Amino acid sequence: MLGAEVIIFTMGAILFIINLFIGSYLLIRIRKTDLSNIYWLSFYFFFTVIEYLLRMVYAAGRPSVGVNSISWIYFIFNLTGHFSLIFFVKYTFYTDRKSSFSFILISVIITKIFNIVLYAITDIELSAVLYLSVQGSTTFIISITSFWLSYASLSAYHKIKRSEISPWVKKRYLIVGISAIFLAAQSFPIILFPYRASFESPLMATITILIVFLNIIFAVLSLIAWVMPKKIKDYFNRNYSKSEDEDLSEEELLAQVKLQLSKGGFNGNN
Amino acid sequence: MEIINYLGEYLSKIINISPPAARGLIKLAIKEELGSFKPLDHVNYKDLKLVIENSLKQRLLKLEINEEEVIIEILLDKLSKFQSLISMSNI
Repeated sequence: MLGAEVIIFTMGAILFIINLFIGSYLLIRIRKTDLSNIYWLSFYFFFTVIEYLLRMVYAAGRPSVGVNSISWIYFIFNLTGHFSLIFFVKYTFYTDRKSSFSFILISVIITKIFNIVLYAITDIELSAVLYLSVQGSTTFIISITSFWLSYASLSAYHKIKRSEISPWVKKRYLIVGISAIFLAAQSFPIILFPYRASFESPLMATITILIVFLNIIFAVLSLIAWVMPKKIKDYFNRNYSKSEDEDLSEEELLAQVKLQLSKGGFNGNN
Repeated sequence: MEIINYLGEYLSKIINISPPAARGLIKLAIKEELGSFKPLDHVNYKDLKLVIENSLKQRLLKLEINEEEVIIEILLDKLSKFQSLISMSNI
């Protein structure tokens, strides 16, 4: 299974680089825009990077660090990553708005506690049902947060797609929404992980490759969405001509508004 | 800034002025409320909410536009529903 290990490691390294790049890019953009809600998204990508590192160390089982301590650190970063994504959705799409925020946050906290308690006793023989519960709870946490991001982004896209908004911005909503579906999808094969199988087992390797592959699709789409190069923006905007506003003084602008209002409103000529 | 285009589009339809004039009114209100040194791409959701509630409302009153309370409510509702445009267009 050395071939599979090399594939998984290479794919993991690609993911590591992409996510590190997105997280860093977002941090730079926050400094230029003061958008504090983006910190949450940036944190999400950084926590994912740390999570992958820990997974790699865990898989390698380095005795100098200690597998159990790594597992607990991994759990903390994994939990914080999901919280970051939940807070990003809340403060980007639903500030001052009714949303599923409290429900999702409480569900994730309860499920994570359940997950940790079950994980803590994994050294004791687990029944198949209990083991499936551990895996199922992980799937639930990842999928509920991802689907919420996808729902928020795709429903916003649906509402603005006919508005006079730059097409590249609309595409960003669409790509973020679709990418989150892949993020959710990568959580489902987790249920299929065989109980107490080693990393050398073919089934374990196949499932891991599938999960990392779905994660790479999410990462690449996120890269396109958040670090969208000018060339891609121009391509999306190729049939869009934005009318530039005249550079009027306050007096000139107010005079124009008053004129339009006095003539019973704007009719295209005034 | 796409959120200004979006809110301008709505304001122009409600008070029946041209979209550039509506956008101009919003930009004037931002300048008045937040100062002329704040770049438009640094304006966040809370800033815009404040702008609509205060200086834009005052400008509509000065222009003797009827039912300014209703107009402000509509704009605040649109801002709340499409607040993500601020992040999606500025990052």
